[in-house]
Amino acid sequence: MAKYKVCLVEDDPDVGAVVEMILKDYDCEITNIRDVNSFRMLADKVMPDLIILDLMLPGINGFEICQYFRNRAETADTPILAFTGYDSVDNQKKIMAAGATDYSPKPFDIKSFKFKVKKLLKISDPLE
Amino acid sequence: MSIRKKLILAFSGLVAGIVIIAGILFWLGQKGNEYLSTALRAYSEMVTVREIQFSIDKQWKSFNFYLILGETEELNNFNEFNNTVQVKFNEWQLLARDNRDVEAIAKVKLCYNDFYSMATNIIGIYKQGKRELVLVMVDTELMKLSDHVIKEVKSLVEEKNQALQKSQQKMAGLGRMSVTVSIITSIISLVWSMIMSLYIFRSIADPLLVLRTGAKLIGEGNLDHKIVIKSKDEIGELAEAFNGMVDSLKTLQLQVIQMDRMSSLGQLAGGVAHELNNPLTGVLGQCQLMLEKVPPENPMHASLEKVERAAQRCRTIVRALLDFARQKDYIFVETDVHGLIDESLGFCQSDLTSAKVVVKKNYGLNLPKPKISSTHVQQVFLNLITNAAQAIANVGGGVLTITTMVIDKIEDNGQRKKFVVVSFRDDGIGIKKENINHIFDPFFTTKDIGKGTGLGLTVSYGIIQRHNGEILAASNGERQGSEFRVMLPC
Repeated sequence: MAKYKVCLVEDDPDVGAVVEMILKDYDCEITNIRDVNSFRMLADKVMPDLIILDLMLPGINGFEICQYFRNRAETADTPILAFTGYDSVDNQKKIMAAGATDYSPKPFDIKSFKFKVKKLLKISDPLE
Repeated sequence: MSIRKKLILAFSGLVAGIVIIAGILFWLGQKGNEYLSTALRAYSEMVTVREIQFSIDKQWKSFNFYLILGETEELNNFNEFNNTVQVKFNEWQLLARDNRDVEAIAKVKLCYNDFYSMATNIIGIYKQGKRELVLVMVDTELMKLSDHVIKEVKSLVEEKNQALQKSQQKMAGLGRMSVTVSIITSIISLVWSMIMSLYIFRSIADPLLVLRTGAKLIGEGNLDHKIVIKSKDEIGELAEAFNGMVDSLKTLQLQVIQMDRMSSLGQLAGGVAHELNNPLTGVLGQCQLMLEKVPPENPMHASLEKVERAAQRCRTIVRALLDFARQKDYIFVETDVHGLIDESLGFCQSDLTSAKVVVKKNYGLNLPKPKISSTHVQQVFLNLITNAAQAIANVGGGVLTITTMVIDKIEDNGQRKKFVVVSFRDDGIGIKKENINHIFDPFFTTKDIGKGTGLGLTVSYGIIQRHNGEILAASNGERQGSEFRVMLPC
């Protein structure tokens, strides 16, 4: 039984692989939502400690997903780390307004990404 | 010559022609009238003289019949004819034109009167019954007088007849002359009209054809076509105005193409950058994860560091592309341009020192503060200063002159607009003429591989566009230095 449950909403396998490798170090169980179909199947079932959310997914965008999780009672307070390859102040403002807890552009440096993940999972010393 | 002048000339020529023809015809009419009067008078005189001649003939016959037959009726006829002759003489005198006529009439009249008085004397003698004396007097005196009168009158008839014929000949000559003059003047007018019509038609139709062909070619998109019309008339001016319009159109089209290219390249760049970011996250992330796990002494560590550096460079390029694709975080505030330049120079100090650049500042006094996004404009300044430093480094040192000023520019809509101009002029390597039109194109670089992304000026262009300003580049060619001018509206 893993210590943390993380829901990764990301369609790109390369990014998914990197995120999985990072999370592996923190004893996380990962549920990967890759597209609109898997979102429909899994969205109301997952009970994650952290949601990592890409803003662009085939068939649905991250803002809607973010709002969905915020409106769902079980995930209303779950931290959401949004990231995107289309980094802009606009996108950042929009996703934060939709309820995201933090934001990271892609590509990211491992160190800063790890720092954000640990902070959101409330792992004692994020700088460790 | 202008078309207006040509038309005036042609019309004046026609009017002059008409006036000349009318003048000639008027003169001919006057002359004809004069000849006709002369002929009519000659005819009247001739008729009068002939009547005198006939009356004298008949009077002579009546005289002879009276002497032979002794009938009183013949004597009455003789006297009656005398009255007729006298009346005709009076009529003739009325027709007299000059002294010559009067003298001629007087001469004939005198002869006749001599004849008549002699005849009257003889009749008196005849009535006395002296027939032999009468015969002798008739034979010796009266015959002579009679012959003389008749001869005079005949000669006058002949003279008047000749005068009449002469007048008729003159009139006929005048008629022929009239026809000839009419034909010649008509031909001259016709030829003049034809020549002028042809000349004016050609001087309008030919250039119009050139204009039409040119307009068609230009309409088909051939903006390099020049309409060549040599004439300096209204159509020539029209063609010049047309060429001017096409030049403006060409400049405008270039601007539109440039903007369109920038816009579509921006979209493309944005799309590509976004797509690249995912695999790049994979490469950079995996590489950094491996770097954490591979100890530094392992030879793979150095290789992984190279991969990471390359990936970071890719990230920088993609970021620049994204920056170009969407100009972001613009906050327009009134900014001290001189402070911004000085700050930028401070950032580049080490580059400028190593490139042996001497910076000269020609800052304008009381420069207004334009509303700009200072971080973006600073990015442009940094770009231009770095480029200048590299251009100067290539020639082993030189001067970078930074000049600021305010200019008034009249926009296309006729409104005046103030611009703060910042000029960066270096005496470095310069820009090749064939490159000057491409320096703002994305990925265009003349720097060594790895040293330039080819996006610096493109991004600068985008930033200044966002400010509704202009960025212009000029260079006299390779090794002639170059100048970049940033114009910011204020």
